[in-house]
Amino acid sequence: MSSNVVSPSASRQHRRGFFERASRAWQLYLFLLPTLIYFVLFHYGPLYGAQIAFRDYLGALGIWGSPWVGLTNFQRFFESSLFVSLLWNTLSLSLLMLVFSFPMPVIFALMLNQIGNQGYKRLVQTVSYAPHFISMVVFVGIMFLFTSPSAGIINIFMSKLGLPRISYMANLAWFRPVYVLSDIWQETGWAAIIYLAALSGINPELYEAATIDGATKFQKILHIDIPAILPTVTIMLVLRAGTIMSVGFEKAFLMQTALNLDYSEIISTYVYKVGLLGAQFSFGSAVGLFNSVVNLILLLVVNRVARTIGETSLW
Amino acid sequence: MKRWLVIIALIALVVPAFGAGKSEATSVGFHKTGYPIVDNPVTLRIFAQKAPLHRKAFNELPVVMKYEKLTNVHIDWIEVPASAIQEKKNLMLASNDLPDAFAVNLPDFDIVTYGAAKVFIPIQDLIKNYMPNYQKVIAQKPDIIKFTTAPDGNIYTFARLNEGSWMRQMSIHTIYKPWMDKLGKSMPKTTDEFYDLMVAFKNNDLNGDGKADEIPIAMAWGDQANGLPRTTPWFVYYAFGLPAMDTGSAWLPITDLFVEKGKVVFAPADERFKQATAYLNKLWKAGLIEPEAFTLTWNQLEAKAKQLPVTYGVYSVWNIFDEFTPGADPRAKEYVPLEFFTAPGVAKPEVYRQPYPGWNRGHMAMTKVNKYPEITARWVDAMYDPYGSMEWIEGMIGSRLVKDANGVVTMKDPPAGMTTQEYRFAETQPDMPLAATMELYRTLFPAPVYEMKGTQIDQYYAPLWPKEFWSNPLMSPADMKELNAIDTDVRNLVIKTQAKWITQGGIDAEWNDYLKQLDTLGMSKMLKIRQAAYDRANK
Repeated sequence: MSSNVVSPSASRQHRRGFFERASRAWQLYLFLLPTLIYFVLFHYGPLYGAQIAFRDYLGALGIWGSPWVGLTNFQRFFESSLFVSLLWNTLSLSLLMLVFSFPMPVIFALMLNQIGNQGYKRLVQTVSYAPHFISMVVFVGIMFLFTSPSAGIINIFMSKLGLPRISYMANLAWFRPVYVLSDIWQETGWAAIIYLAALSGINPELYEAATIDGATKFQKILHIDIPAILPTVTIMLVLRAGTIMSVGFEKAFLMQTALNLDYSEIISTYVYKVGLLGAQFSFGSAVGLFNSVVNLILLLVVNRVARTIGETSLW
Repeated sequence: MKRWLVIIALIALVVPAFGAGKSEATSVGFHKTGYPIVDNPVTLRIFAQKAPLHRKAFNELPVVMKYEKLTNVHIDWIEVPASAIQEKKNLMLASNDLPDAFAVNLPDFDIVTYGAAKVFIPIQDLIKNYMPNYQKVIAQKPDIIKFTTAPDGNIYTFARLNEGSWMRQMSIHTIYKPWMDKLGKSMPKTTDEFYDLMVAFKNNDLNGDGKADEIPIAMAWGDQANGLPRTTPWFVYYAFGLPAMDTGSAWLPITDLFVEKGKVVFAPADERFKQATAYLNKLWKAGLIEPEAFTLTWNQLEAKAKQLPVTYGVYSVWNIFDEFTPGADPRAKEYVPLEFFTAPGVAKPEVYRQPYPGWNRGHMAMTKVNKYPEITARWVDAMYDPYGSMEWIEGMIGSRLVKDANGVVTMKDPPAGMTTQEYRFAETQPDMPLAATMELYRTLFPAPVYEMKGTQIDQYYAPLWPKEFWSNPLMSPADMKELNAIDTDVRNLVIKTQAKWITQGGIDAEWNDYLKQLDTLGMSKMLKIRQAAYDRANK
């Protein structure tokens, strides 16, 4: 009974305790302060500008002087004939990335972890994460060169095998596979680093115990490695969920050609064309805001699910 | 004591605000006529377009330096490459981070909207009071006033006139004559003959290198800014009786509109467009068009075309003499203009006709933050002087330009290792408001290198221009806003669908759905607004 009652003196003690602890560790809070200020100034501060989406913005009138139009811009977007295709293009790229591009680093890390020769392991690791450092503009330029029907190595290779030459970048059906496959090539090595770090923290005694019990290599992976990196994988998945709607603007935009626009026009490239190039700032903001809200909802849902199922979550 | 300090500080802050509204021209020793314009140097911040061939900063160009010394006005240039102009300019206008002037070709939407919002200042009084040179140009060409006046009666922008005969056509379509000679063929007269000729180009190893590397028709849609308007085989559209071009680049006024019997027609929704696209599909299927057309940029295509042996049969460019220097490269004479042919049932080919060729309506606008509008006006006026125009558009007199005793100015050939255009862009920033009129070119400023293209236009294009054309009048801000929204979506749909139909066909089955889609995006409203504007302007 009495255990349920929090005595007043205890709560006062509790509060005093916090400030006391904080003041003793003030250097740590000082460390935190610049980052906090950065986020407040550059991420939370500018949020007031999101109201452009609800106004009919003209630069000369400023944000506060532009007339309020409520949900007109959103309505225009939802009723536009492009709405469904933009949404589906964005979502399908994200989902494809989630299904194919997300598990690859995990598998890669598990395999790399099994390599005994440390020198070879480090070589493979370095070579695998090198593509990550290529800037997206250069990377897509490389892709155009590699896939060129006349001079690209992929097509030369295909023709040697007797297969027809395909212009991958100017082909609608190939847009999504090329997008996902090139992402796997670029990001697997880098993303695997975090999983390798988690794997290197596994207690070697577990392996010894498993060997004594007569476990095969595969069983060791299944019962030791995977449970060890599962919390990391879950966190990465939740983080990923928060970016489902912000599928890379740069990459999709650079890869766009007249022939793949049906799949390559995603919400962010549309916002760029209409909002920035077409100077329709209010409309562009409305579309972008819609994008962000959906992202937020997805993030909250996935986090909740992760917490309920696996006890690991972002918060 | 402290309180007095505070009061004094406050007064010191407030007082300058009283002076800010007035023009500060008087304080710097402004001269209403004659040079220098000001006694104390003045700095203006100007937003301008940097061409790909500009290798030096603008303030290191001889012409810019000469005029700074002459006028005592220093320019702080904001140099932006063409691909980023729309974006950067829109951002500056939206965030109110304004330069003193925008010296780039402003689209009608900007002129009308920002003029009405008082971001751009009206300049008609400045023209009257401070710009004698521009007034002389206007006296010669009074249409300029109508051309640049916004619906609210003010003039917000300076016009740029480049009336060279070569400006009248965006692209010249050329065909490689040596291949035709080898086959013993003459210019095709019908679409069927053209098709057969292209097939012959492809199959006969005409460049003699033993490889099947001939590509009958060059095309580059990888970039819409340059590749699309220049290299698309528009002559196919002309063959079906459709005098239209590119679906609206920022460089020219909307070019996919034309006028037939007083009605404004949107080319991509016309039956003839359907037939032309079906024909292009036929060409594509037979492998007659550059297979990498949709991924190559203009620069890449240009580089490919410059290589030897020759691989392109039909090559469409801005000016063939820019690509191949006459006298130095035989191909300058070997790529001859293609004579236009017709499709069955079409009486004569209709060639796209530009309204006011060479005239840019909104080439420079002064913003409300400009503290020295009179000084700016006088600085710009120097460019409207005939010799000023010559220098700004082609280079410095005494360097690339040579003035003789009669006042006639000629252009020197480029030094070894430079092309004509490289030489030009090493001397000046030509993309400024100026008036290089036809009269000037015919008397004091002969340009034989460019005139060669002009002659080609006279011979092959001008006789086929229709009488009526879309004149692109300025419309009200509300109209322009609606058009802006509709145009973006419509344009994307047309490019996307056209690309699909050219490469995969299917136009017959999908045509009606496409028309319905265009309508959903607002095409009929767009036509109504433009028809009303055309009727108003042509009353």
